[in-house]
Amino acid sequence: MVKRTAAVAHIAPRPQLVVVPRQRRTARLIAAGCTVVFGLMLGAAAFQTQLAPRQLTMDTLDRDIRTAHESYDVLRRERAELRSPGRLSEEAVKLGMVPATQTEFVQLDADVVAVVQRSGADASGDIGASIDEEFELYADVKAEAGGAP
Amino acid sequence: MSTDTRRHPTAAPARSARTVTADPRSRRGETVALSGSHKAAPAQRGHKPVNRGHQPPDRSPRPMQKRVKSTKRPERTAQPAGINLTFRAGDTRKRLVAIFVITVLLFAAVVARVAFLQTAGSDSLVAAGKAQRVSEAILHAPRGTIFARDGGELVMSVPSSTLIANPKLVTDPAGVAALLGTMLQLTPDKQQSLLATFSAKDKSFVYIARQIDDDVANSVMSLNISGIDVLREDKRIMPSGEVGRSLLGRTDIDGIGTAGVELLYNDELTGVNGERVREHDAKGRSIPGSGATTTDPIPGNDLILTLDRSLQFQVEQALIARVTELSAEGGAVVVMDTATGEIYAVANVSRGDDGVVAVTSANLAAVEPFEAGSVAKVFSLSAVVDTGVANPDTVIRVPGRIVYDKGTPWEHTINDAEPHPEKPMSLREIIVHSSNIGTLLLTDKVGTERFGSYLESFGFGQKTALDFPDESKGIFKPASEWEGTEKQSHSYGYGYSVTALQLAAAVNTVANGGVYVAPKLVAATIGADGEVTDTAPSATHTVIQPSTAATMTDMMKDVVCGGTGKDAQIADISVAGKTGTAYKTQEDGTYGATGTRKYRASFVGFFPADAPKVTILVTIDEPDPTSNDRFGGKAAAPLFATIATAAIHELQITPNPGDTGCSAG
Repeated sequence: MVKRTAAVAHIAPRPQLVVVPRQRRTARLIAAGCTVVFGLMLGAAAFQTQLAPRQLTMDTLDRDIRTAHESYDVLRRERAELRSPGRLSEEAVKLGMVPATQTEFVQLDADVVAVVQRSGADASGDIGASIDEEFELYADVKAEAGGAP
Repeated sequence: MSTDTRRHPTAAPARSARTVTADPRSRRGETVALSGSHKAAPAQRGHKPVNRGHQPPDRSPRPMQKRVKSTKRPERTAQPAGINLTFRAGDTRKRLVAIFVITVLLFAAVVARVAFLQTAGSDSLVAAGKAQRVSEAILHAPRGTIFARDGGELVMSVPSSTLIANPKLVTDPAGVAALLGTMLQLTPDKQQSLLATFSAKDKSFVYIARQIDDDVANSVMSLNISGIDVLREDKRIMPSGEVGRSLLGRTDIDGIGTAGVELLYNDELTGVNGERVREHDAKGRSIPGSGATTTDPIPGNDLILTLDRSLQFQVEQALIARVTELSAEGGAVVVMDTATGEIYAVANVSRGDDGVVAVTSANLAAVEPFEAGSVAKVFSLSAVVDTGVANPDTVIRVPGRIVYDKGTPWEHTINDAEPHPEKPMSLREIIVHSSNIGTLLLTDKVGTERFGSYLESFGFGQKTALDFPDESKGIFKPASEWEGTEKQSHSYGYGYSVTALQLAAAVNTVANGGVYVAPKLVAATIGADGEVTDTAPSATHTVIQPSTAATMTDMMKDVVCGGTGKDAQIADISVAGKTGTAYKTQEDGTYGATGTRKYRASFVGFFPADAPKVTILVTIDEPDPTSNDRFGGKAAAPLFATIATAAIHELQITPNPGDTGCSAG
């Protein structure tokens, strides 16, 4: 009996194997991470699709500004050439005009001056923009455009 | 019941989600017993291995047949029974290990390479990548425009095309060179040079033609010639033609001032270049989101000159016509505002080798000194009046000729232009008839040193405030250094040389009530921000008393109304002026003899004499010496009247009340 008991006592206990529950937390984290990354990539792609046309627009605007600036300079040159004394002189000669060699001053009657002034006409003889106005206009454009290409 | 924990040689590595308590030795492939007693169970060969790894047996990397074969290896069969056997991975494990090691090594190599490329070896790659996608473009700052006072552009920059080539990409050098030569009308030398450059292919950038018309450039580009491209460059042009050319100067092809106002105000006109850095794709389009760094260029300042464009043109045309008419070699005109010193016009013309009279590129009025002759009597007699030596009614006896140092090697004779016996002459008559001897006798009473200081005060011997490039200060010695005939000749305009600008400014002193006002060329500037800034008023200093200036003006009116300057009269406006006819120094250092003399005819005056607004100097270089028009009163005075008329129109000058010109009294 004792022996048996002893023998029984010597039987090794069966190992308690326990199934460890699967760690789903990691999987969830990975899944969430993937989702976030996918979402970010999708967002980036969408952002890029918005950026691309805007960049194209900016490039186009830059080109338009450059073209407009060049056109402005070309037009200034053409205006200067049209107003150059040499051209005006040639055109005047074609019309049969000759340079004035003498000056004659005429004393206007005060009544005539008064009538002109009363009519609202500009008696100064200036036509178009004054010189100061021209410089101001030019300065405004320069201040706005500067050296921008 | 025991669990066979032996691993079959062909079993897949134990990778299971199920966790078991295991002896660490199992990792080395040894058989261990999973028991509470930790006692190893005897190994039993031939047992079916337990698949511990949830991998189905049929997924074993090797077929069963080979496993059986592998168990017949001598070393394995030699293992005694009852001993814990060590199971090794066999070939597969070795291979796996080998693959792992190789992979690790490869990976390490890749990592090392990456590390190298990211650190020490990164520069060249970064540069190469940058060069491919990043372009750095210089944004050229436009050079400032030069305006006339009336708002007209005298000089400006406009965009133009420049053809360039990459010879390495030109496939048919001879054909392309010939084609470009024809289209661009290149000289044979230039065409040959182009061919040599294209053939050598040792450069990747050459200019073909700079700053050409866009139409021409477009024609060339439309041919799609390999290696030929076009750039945009600013070109400096004078939209008003040659108006003011000698004063304005020019720039080189890179837009740097080399002469005239362009050189004098080069720093003012030159802007600061900007830069644009951007990333672009293969087609040159900006990469979205990459951003561009742009440093805007700062344009140069614009200059608003005091020149009147229309008057400048008329003065030049009138001077060309007059010089041509007189068969003269050249001439110069200076027109300036009496009160402010602002220069309305400066014209310089000369006869070219082809005999054609044209506007010069050099501003002779500033760089070429000459002896003024009788015009300088204005300064001598101003000193006489200012010092109280004489007044207009003071009468002295004036001989027709005076001989100095008689009987010595330095003997010289001074005559009046018009021969006359000794006679009494008033100061007024002396200036009206331009008597050398009368002027000399009166000036002598002022004293050499004092007279010399007057001349210095009138601005002689020093550059004007314009400080024009290569401007001459004239040839003028202090009175203490005058020797021999110089003590006499200075009084009637010989022995010292002045520029046209100096002379005009000096006479303007009389017109301006005795106050010298420095000539001024720039009225205002327009900054990059569009702000218009007026320049400071010209510096002034008093030279003679106002009463002296009034006296001189009165006498100079008589010169025009009844003296040598009658041809300078203008209807209804009084003019004060003085004629001058000077002998020119010839190559042998003398003034030549009768028949070989060369002259410089001048007239300087201002109007309206009662309240002067404009001062004009006209000087004609070498008029026909055989003509009566060689004198200042005949050669220069009529041109003064023409220019004065133009100035009256352009500057809208009206006569002062009561001014009827020379018809008064």
